[in-house]
Amino acid sequence: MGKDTYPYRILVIEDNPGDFLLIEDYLDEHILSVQIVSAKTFKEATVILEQQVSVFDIILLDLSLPDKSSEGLLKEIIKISKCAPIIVLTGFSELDFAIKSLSLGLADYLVKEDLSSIILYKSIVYNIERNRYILKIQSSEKKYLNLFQMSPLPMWVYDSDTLEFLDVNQSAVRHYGYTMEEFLSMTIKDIRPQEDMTDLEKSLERSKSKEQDFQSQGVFRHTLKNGRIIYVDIQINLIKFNDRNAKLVLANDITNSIEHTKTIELQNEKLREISWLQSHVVRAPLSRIMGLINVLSTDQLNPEDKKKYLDYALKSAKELDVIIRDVVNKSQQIHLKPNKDEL
Amino acid sequence: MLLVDDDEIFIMMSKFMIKESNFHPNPLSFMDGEEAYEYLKDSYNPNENYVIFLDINMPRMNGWEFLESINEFASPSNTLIFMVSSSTDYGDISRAGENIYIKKFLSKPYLTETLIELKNSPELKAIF
Repeated sequence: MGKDTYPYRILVIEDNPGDFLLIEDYLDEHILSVQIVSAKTFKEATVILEQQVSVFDIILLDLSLPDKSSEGLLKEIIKISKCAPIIVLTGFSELDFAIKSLSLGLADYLVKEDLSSIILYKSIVYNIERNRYILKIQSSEKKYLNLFQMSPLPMWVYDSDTLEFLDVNQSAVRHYGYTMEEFLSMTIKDIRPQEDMTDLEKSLERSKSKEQDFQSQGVFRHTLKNGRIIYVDIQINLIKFNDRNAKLVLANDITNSIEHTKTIELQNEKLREISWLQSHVVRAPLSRIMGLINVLSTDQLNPEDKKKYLDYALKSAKELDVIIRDVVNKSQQIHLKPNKDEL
Repeated sequence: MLLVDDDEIFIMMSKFMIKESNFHPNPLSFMDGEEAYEYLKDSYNPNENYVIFLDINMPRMNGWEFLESINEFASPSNTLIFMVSSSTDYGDISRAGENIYIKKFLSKPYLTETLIELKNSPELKAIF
C-alpha cells in the first residue's frame, strides 16, 4: 500500500519523549509528508494553538501532562482547538474517563498499549472525515435555521396535539407583538379572535383527516397583541419537531390586499348605482322634455296650453339638473376608502 | 285603450299624440298598476280588445306586478300590452321580450309618428 500523500498538519500534545517518538514513527509509516507540531505541556499547546493562523487537521492529546490533566485539560483544549477533532491517547488506567469524555466533544480515544501504526492512521483519517461532515451538517443546520429565523414572513411551529407554539421566528415576534417567551407559553388558540374558535376547530378537524404535506389552509383572522385583527393566508407543512408531531406554519398578512379589494368592490357598487341612475332616473325627465318639445313643435296648441307645456319642460329640465348633481356627487364618492366595519 | 303611468305630464302628452295620430278616440288613464288592475278586472270582457300602454316604475303596483295580477283573468290574445319606459336598461328590455302579454317595448318619449307606425303594424292591424 502506498503512503497517503495528503500533507496532514498534526499537533501532538505529549510530554513523554518515548511516546512522542513512537507516534512520529507510526505517522511516518502511512503518511508521506506529515507535518507534526509538538507540545510537551498544556502551556506550550495553548501558545501554539493561539498563535497558529492555520488550523490543525487533528490533535493527538495525552491526558496526563505535567501542568494539567484529565477533564480540565480536555475541556481547555477543546475550547481552543478551532474545530479540529481531538484523539486522546490514553493508558488502561484512564480508559473509563476517556470513554466518558466522548460526550464532551472528544472525537476518539486510543489505548497506548494497543496502539499500532494502522490503528492510529485509520483513526486519524476517519475522524478528519467525520469532523468534516459534522461541520457541514452544522452549517447546513444553521442555514436552515436561518431560513426559518430570517424569513421575512411570520413562521412558527406548533404541536399538532397540544396546539402549543414550539418555535416562532423573528418576523412573527415583530408582526404579532408577542415576545418569544410569550409565544412559547401560548397555544395557537390565543392568536385567534374568540368568535372564530368554531372555525378553528373545524379546520383542525379537516386537516386531521388529510395528513398530506403542504396544505394551503386559506384565509383566517388573527389577533395581534395590541388587539388589532389581521387577515392572514396560512400555509402549513407537517414536520417532526423534537420528536413531536408538529406543523410548520407560514402566515402571510393580506389585510391590505383585502382592504384594497373591498375598496374596489365598493367603487363597483357606486358605479352600478350610477349606471342605474343613468338608465332609470336621468332618462325620465329627459324623455319628458323630448316629448314636450315634440308636442310644442306641432303648432296645434292654443297659447294657454303652449305656456303650460313650456312650464312643464322647464320643470323637467330643473329636475334633470338635480339628478345630474346627484350623479356627480356619487362619482366623487368612488374615491372614498371603505369603513373599517365594512370589511 | 288604457294608459298606465304615474307621470301626469307624460299622460297629457300621450293623450295629445294619441289624438293627433288618430290612434284612439278616448284613452283612459291610470296613475298606477293597482288603479288599472281594478278597472280592468271589473270591466274585462273577453270579446273586447284592450291596448294598454304600461309604465314600469310606478308606486303601489308597478308594471311587472300589474302583468302578474291580470294573468288570472285576461287573455293575451285580446289584451295587447306595450311596455313604455324611459329606462334603457337592457334587463328591463329583455324581460319585456319574455312576457306573453307584451307586444313591444316602447322607449320614452314616443312620437306621433311612432303611434301611426304602430297602428299600421301587423300586431294591431287586426283589431283596428
